Amino acid sequence: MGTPMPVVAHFRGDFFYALVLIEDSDTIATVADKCAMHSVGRRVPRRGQPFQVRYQGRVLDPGKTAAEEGVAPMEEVMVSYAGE
Amino acid sequence: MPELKREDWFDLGRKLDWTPRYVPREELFPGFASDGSNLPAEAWEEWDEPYRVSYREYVNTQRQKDEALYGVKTAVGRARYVEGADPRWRGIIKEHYGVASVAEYFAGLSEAKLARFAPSSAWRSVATLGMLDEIRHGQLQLFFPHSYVKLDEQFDWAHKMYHTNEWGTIAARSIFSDLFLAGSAVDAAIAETFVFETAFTNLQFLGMASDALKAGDIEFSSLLQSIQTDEARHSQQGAAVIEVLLKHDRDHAQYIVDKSVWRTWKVFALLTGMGMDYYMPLEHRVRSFKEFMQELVLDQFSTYMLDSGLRLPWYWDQMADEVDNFHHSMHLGSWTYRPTLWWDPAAGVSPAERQWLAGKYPKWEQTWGRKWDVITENARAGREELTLPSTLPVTCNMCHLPITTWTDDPPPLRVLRTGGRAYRFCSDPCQWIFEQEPEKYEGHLSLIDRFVAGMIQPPDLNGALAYMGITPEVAGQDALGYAWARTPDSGEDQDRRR
Repeated sequence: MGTPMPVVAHFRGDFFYALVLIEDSDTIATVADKCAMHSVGRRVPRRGQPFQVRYQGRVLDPGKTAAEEGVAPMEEVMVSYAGE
Repeated sequence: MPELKREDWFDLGRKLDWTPRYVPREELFPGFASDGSNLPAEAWEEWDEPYRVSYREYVNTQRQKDEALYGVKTAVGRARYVEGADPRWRGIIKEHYGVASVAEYFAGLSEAKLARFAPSSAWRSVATLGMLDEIRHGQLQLFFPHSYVKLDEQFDWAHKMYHTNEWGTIAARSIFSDLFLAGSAVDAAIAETFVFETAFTNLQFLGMASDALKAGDIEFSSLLQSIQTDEARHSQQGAAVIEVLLKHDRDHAQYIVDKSVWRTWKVFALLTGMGMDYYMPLEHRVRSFKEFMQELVLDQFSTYMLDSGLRLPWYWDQMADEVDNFHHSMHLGSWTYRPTLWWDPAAGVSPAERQWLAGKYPKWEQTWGRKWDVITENARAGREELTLPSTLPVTCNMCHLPITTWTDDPPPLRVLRTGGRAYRFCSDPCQWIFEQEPEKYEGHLSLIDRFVAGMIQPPDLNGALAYMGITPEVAGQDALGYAWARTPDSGEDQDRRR
């Protein structure tokens, strides 16, 4: 089990920035799911497509962990459908 | 004894200054409380305002106003208008009485500061009447809705709003403390009377009053209009201050105006914007919030600023974009977070209402309608849990409202890192205001700062509701029980949205 940390998440197409609790051992794919659940199916239509995470201007590797990708607490995480 | 003409005695009655002998003037009127620009006393001798009301005249006029207003209350009270009112209208007045009533006391404290510390004796005399005005407004807006307290818990809660940590309350306290209470008399007069009362209170006290009249709430309409006649008089203090300050410290006058317009805008976007464009039943709407903003602020007040010798605030282009969008984002957010409100917000997005919104805001469907499409489907299918909040929104460290966006590709969040903390801002002007006087703002914790610091327990939505003082019987629900989502959507509506 990793160390919990809050991030500031925005899902493309939604209107607000959510405080989302992740763990530094979460894969980026899990981080995307944890962030998307606050927007997709709520204000952003479900599309059945994978998500991607952008952090400090670059798209993160979904197989790596948040710690490996250098995601820091309370920093901005941008999530979208892949390719957007 | 022959009666003196008014002009022969009036100045004697209001210019009551004297030359202090036992203490220096700067001790009587210290800069932090009086005038941070430290203009010489002679500069303030030029201060003048157009209403020139004596205390005797003031008392006579106020008595007549109160007699008229209480007469309306007595007559209308029997009709029990509010008891049978549309739940959407009840939402408007619960929001209003929560936000406005005790804020009038903040305004009264601010006027009391002017009555003591204003650097001109004529000004102190006028401010004394302004202080009495604001006490009147506070008393009226506590007394009038008091008879509604028995109707439900939300009316009762509205009375104690400022004594809680509800998110909107944190935002409102921050703004009123900053603009009305924390600065010098000069700064407070510009913020409160030149900006807040001259530019913005017309939105609620005239714009909303006309909506109220159309909705049949004569008591509320009369109350708002009676208050606004006081505001029109005592707000003249600010223009007189601007006139003096522009001659001696132009940059400071401009700074206080720029800061105050932005901070005040945020209050009225929530207080007036959501009510006018979403809560007000369609048949009672007079104009859109944007149309009122365009006329009263973007046209009239901008002309007034220029005529007064000021420049338009540097962010004026951003203001126009905000007027098109910001209150829509606050409505979507506050409706979603309705368990944190002390009123039942109307969604205001039935097919007919969406048509009205699209007519007033050409990009509404593209920006906001597609989000409401998903919400409407959830509401229609009984998936209420997906329409409710699932985590906390991140709030701005200046206005303390949720940070929102209305573009698909927003720029990176504005973050200022200083003193071991990171401060997040919703907009360039909010960050700019913080950076002008960081020592004034950096000690304050936003709701999110408090959550992350472990001050809200348990650290979840229920803990947040408890921290805000919201109990289950108070927590807001959809005003119409989602009836708007079940209204058939015509083929024409669907075509329009495509």
